[in-house]
Amino acid sequence: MQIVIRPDRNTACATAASLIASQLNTKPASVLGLATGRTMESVYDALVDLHEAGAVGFSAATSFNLDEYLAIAPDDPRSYRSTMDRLLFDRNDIDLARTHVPHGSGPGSGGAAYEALIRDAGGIDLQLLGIGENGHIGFNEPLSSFASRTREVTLAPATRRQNAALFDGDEDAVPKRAITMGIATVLEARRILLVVTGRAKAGILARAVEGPVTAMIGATALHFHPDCLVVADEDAAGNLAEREYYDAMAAGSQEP
Amino acid sequence: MQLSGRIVLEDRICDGTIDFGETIAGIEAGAGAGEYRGERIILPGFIDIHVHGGDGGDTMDGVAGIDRLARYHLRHGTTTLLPTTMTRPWPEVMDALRAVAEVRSRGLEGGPDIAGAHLEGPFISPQRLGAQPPFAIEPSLPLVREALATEVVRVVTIAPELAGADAAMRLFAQSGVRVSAGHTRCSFEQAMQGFATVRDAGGIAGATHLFNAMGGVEGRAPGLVGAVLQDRDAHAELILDTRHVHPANFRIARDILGDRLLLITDAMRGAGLGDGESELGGRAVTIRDGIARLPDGALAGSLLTMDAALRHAVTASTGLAHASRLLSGNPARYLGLHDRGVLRAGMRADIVVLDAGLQVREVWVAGRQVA
Repeated sequence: MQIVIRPDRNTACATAASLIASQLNTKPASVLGLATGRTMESVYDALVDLHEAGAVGFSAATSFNLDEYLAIAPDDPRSYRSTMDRLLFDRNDIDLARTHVPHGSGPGSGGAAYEALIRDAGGIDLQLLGIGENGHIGFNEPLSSFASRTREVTLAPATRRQNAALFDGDEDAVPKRAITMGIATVLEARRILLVVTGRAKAGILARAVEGPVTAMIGATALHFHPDCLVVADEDAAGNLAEREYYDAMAAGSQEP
Repeated sequence: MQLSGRIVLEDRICDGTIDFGETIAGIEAGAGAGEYRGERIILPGFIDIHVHGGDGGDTMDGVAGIDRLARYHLRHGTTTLLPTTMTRPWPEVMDALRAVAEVRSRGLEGGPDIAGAHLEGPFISPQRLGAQPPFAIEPSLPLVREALATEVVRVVTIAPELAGADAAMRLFAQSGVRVSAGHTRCSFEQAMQGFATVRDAGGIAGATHLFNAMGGVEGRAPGLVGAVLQDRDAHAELILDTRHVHPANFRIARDILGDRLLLITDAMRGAGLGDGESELGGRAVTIRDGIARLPDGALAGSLLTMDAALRHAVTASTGLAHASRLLSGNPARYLGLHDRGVLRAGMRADIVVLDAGLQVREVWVAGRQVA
């Protein structure tokens, strides 16, 4: 794992966007694993800026999102499918037929089908991740098995509280169930990019990066991935103890 | 000097540091690159083999015009270029060639390398002038010898169907000039015959701004486009400004021609000046919404720069290493400039540094920062 700390949220998200652009510029037909969340909105804004500047094209790319609420139709504006269309897919030249968001009903639904789609696309080249305040990646809530695959899960109360903003602040309106890539699915990506911003994430980021590996914090499973980069802003990095070492590592671009 | 960032090599991209004087001493992967994370992208300087003008200057203006256009394109990452003539009365064409020869022998202080001239016309089809004015003539050997005597012509555009073209192409090819079919109504068969003539004379054949000022591919008539696409050696220039060539045609050429495709600007005087009135080959040109047109509405050259061509290639989902070859490696090899076009130890330190948005930040020519 390598950690790069950027001065603020915009810079951190611009760095993440330029890493995604680099991936596409190295391999235009890349398979991207995508995520949702407030930090991701800024990453996608930066990515759209790069696209409009002519610095990256998506026309040959394929994407797989991490997760989706159940009991919400894909065309509901609060669904992750709608959110992704709005934030990214409608703002660049990606082929919508090659964008995938898991869903729980209808043709091609369910975890096994989603895993097969990822496999058939050649596997994920770069997986973009955020982290929940309880340490989840995707909707892999505390105690998710490190061997978990794409499946339906029950959302933790903390997650539903955290995501209530999208539902007019009404925590009860947040679906109780979701479908998510499993931790083992995520770990199969060739590269992982975890982007974390904001003071609210400082505590969990320190536990995820510097604490013991535990199924209580899904993100600690990332220590088992050989090529995981964490990009954080100063606020999110505030509780990291080994900051000096991470900066030295970033300056030399050396893997530990 | 040392530059760190994401370095675009011929076949891949690596984070690292490039160490250079006038030539590249070495490239070390990994060292010191961490802080840049793709925010500084280092490529070989661009090589434009077909450029008429820019920033108000035109090759036909003589020394001052060449100086002006060269410095403009330098700021957009072009470190080697061939000032390109227009189809004008022969004495004017000869004056322009002599001016290019003068600039080349003197060198441009703090400018790009002028590696010769591209003679575009007057040996072209009067029926396929495009934006060239109507001074097309047949390529008689005395005229060819006169042009060759300047020792500056590196590429010639010629319509293979013209009377005398066969002998002219042979003589150009024997003299080391790249012979590029263009502004032509030639058939597939005439094109293939032309390629064979050039090859037999030890030369390299090409096509000038593929898809423009030539016929298209038809069921029973593949034309010059078909000839280039199915030949094994012929090269082709392409104007990737999104106006001259449909992106799908670019992808076809890219995927079939591989490293025989070269991106050019074909830029005219008005490039870099914004909307307004301009001039091309003695005729009025109106530039509006970033498009230069003659009074009859025909495209009057482009307003393209090489860095913009790179961005268009990248947004058309061409990998950056591949796109860089279209702008640097392929034209260098086509022209026989074996000392540049690739970032590798021993090569000239002609370097462009771009930011994450692929905008030009720095330009180095032979190890010296010039922009």
